[in-house]
Amino acid sequence: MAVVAYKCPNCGAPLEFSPESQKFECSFCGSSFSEEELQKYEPAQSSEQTIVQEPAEEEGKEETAVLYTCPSCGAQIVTTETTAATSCLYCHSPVVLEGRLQGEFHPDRVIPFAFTREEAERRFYEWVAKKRYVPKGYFDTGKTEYFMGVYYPYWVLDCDTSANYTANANRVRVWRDSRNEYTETSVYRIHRQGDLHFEDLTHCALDSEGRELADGVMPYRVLEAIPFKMPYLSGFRAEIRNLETDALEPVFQDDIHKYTENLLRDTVTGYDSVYNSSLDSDVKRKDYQYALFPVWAFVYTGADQKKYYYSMNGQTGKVAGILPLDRKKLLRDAVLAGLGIAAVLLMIGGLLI
Amino acid sequence: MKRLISAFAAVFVMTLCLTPAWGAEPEQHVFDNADIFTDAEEAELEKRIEQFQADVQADAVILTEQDGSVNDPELRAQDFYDANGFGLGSNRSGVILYINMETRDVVACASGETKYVLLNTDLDTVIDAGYDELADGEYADSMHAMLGKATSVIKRHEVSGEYENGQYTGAHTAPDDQPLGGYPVVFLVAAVVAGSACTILVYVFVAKRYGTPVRDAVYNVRNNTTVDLSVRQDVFVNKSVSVRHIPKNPPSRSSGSSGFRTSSSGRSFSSSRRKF
Repeated sequence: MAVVAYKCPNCGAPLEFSPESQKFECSFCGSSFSEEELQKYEPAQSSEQTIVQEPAEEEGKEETAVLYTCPSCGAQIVTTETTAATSCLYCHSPVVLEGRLQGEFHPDRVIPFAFTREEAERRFYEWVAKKRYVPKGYFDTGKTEYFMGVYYPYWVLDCDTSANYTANANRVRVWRDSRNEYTETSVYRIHRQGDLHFEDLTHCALDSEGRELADGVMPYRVLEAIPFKMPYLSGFRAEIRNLETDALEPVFQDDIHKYTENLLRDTVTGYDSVYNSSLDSDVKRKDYQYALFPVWAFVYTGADQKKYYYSMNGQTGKVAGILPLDRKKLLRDAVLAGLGIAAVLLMIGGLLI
Repeated sequence: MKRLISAFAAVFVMTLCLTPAWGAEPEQHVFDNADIFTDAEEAELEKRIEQFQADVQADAVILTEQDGSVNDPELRAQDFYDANGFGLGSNRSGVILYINMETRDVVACASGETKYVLLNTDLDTVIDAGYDELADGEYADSMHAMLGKATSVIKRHEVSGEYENGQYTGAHTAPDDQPLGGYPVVFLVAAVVAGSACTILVYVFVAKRYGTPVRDAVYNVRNNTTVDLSVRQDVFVNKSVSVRHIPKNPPSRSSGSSGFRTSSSGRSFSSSRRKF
């Protein structure tokens, strides 16, 4: 399997993709290259690979580690089975495991990182500052560890479905005279049938501990995805998928069914209630695309040594993660809210007597 | 601390100033400002009122005026009754008969326990009893007749057990006769329950949001989907009409605060008014 490292044609130092300029930059001599310019040069390569089987802590869960030789310094580095891009721990050169991205694992599209690590940190602290119940100063005294830009694998589905929706609906009219109240209920049978087109239904294609955080930063603006090119991974970590479309089929089907029902239900208007609904849908065309989307992943260790794990959408800046909570402040505000509601009800009671 | 003591002292003094109205029972009960009674008739009416007090354990007041500026004679009578501390017992039970010679109004009002046994309709009959004499200018006779009718109506309730020793034995529905000044207890309970529920909900909701690592991803349905309907049918099936009779509230002796008027001081009165 080829392991490649992209080198600056001017000085030979490692090239990394810069989210700021959206070009490939050399941090040593300051040169910058576009994708088209970079394609003229051959990357440094190494083809050594050793597979090591790690003893399993649980039966049936053997882990396979892969050793590669860094094309820059020759050091041997260990990666996991799903790693497709990383950096050498010795010389810090970014490397792309080209072989992992060949054939059916070659991504169709990629969304490059839209902002730098510094910008990601700034956005994170800005996001935290808006959270009223984070303990004051908690994120001032701790430290950020493991701040890494990671490309996560996703399946993106475009599909066409045909659907048949039926339901009952009621329209109610009420009027009064001096002695009686009259309620007229008109019942209608509703029928909707037609074709629906869905674009860019997305789910993470990696079954790992970080999956929840990777899912939590969605949605991405998939329209902005570009055709995949290997150099975009340089300077970042990348993971390849370990979930195929079959494994995610039930999840996509649930999404399609849910959205179909909501869309057809929204066409039923002018009624007081809709009930006894029934939906038959059939997916006629499915087009899966395999894509890599950017996530900033980091760990924050507070002054109390408690670790908090966060991920940030590398395109939109949306953050997912558990926040520390100032329980006393929350309790105080909750009690005040309760007293406010009680005061309003007491005033209403006073107005009615 | 000094300021706190001064504030308490001020409140104490102000309270003392107000207590004459709540002090000993006044001795005069006939106030003939319009001068329609002779001195002898006034004295007889005072005795008649003493008899009334002994018979039904309730006070009685007669007020006459010649004042064209009184727009609300019922309120005028009630405020006069309140301001001068009339009434027997802790609930200040009694009646007031008011005649305004300028506006030609005759008013009968009842307060305290008496208002539950002399409702508005009962006070209509009290005025009826002396109305002819009033119209004929026999004002003192008119007052005697009205007091006599009031006595007989109250006695009827004594016989039926609704009135004993100056106390109404049924439900006291006027706001100023209820605990908390008539404030609906249900609102207090609702306020406590709603306030507690709000506190718990806010705490649990926010704590859960902070402790949940991810939220549901948002798929922009509007921008990413298209719908092309080939069938869009709404077929009428049937129609039905249900009828509900609107019940009317039956007349009740405990008719609630809606049957009583409130004086300027907030006390409830039953009342009746007529022109003569």
